[in-house]
Amino acid sequence: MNTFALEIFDDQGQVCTFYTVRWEDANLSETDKFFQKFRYDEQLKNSLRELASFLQVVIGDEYGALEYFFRFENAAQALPPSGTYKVQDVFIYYGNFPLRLYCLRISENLVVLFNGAEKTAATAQGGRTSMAFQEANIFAKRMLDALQQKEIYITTDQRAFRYYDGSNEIII
Amino acid sequence: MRSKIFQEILDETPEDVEIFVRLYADLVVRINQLLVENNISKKQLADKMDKKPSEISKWLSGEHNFTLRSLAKLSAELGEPLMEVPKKKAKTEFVEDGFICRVHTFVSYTKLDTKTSGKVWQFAEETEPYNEFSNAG
Repeated sequence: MNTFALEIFDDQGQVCTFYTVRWEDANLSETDKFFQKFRYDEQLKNSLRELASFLQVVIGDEYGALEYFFRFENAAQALPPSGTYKVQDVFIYYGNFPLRLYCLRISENLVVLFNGAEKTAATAQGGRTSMAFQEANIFAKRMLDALQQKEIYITTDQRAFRYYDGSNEIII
Repeated sequence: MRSKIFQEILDETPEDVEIFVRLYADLVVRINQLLVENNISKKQLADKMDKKPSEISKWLSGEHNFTLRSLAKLSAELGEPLMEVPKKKAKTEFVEDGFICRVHTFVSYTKLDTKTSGKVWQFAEETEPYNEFSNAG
């Protein structure tokens, strides 16, 4: 089974830390791949900048990961047995936002970002978002399993993950 | 620590994008806070505004952009201002013998470096606030 690293994407915000995942043999994290994919796209780069700004300014620095900044893409799918956590996407509150970035919102202070895509179909399971959404569910399930097995844990300030031995190099 | 690519994209982002995103988030947070504080459900809000619940959901979920008119309606129904535009009052200055007399809600005097001849009304400009004293009332 392929393993992946759980690593910090941005911990400079006052309120919320963003983590991301990186396949062990990959150079870029999944979230870096997402940003790199649309960075030079003339049609989508402005939306990408809005999303980046939303993450850093609004969620990271000011309000934290409030529930209504996120949206369940597939409410019927509960991960894992507890059903507490589900894969969501960062929800930019204006009409027809064309990008979807999948994530696992652990709390208002801790979010794991995955990959995403351009929304081309009504549901996450269809169109160009399909693969990113499926992968996000795989990452989320394995992370949540690791949390339940106490292979990883969340620090008491709710701002970081640690490996069971206290190290911050986390491979799942 | 921050992803290098993420930082580069943030650096490339124009200031107006950040202002827009911040304003939008402030609005969404404020509306949701007021719904909770006033114990109003989206359905109740829809009834009050004589709209279908689906229309309200579209406003609150971003399917429709806010317009000034929709914000005014929401503000009226929620009983609180949602946005405030800073107002700057125009002020007039009377320049006499090297002193500026500013007229606003109080009167203040500023000593100028150079003397002016005559008395003339002019529009206010930013001046250094040195040697300034005021006499409220």
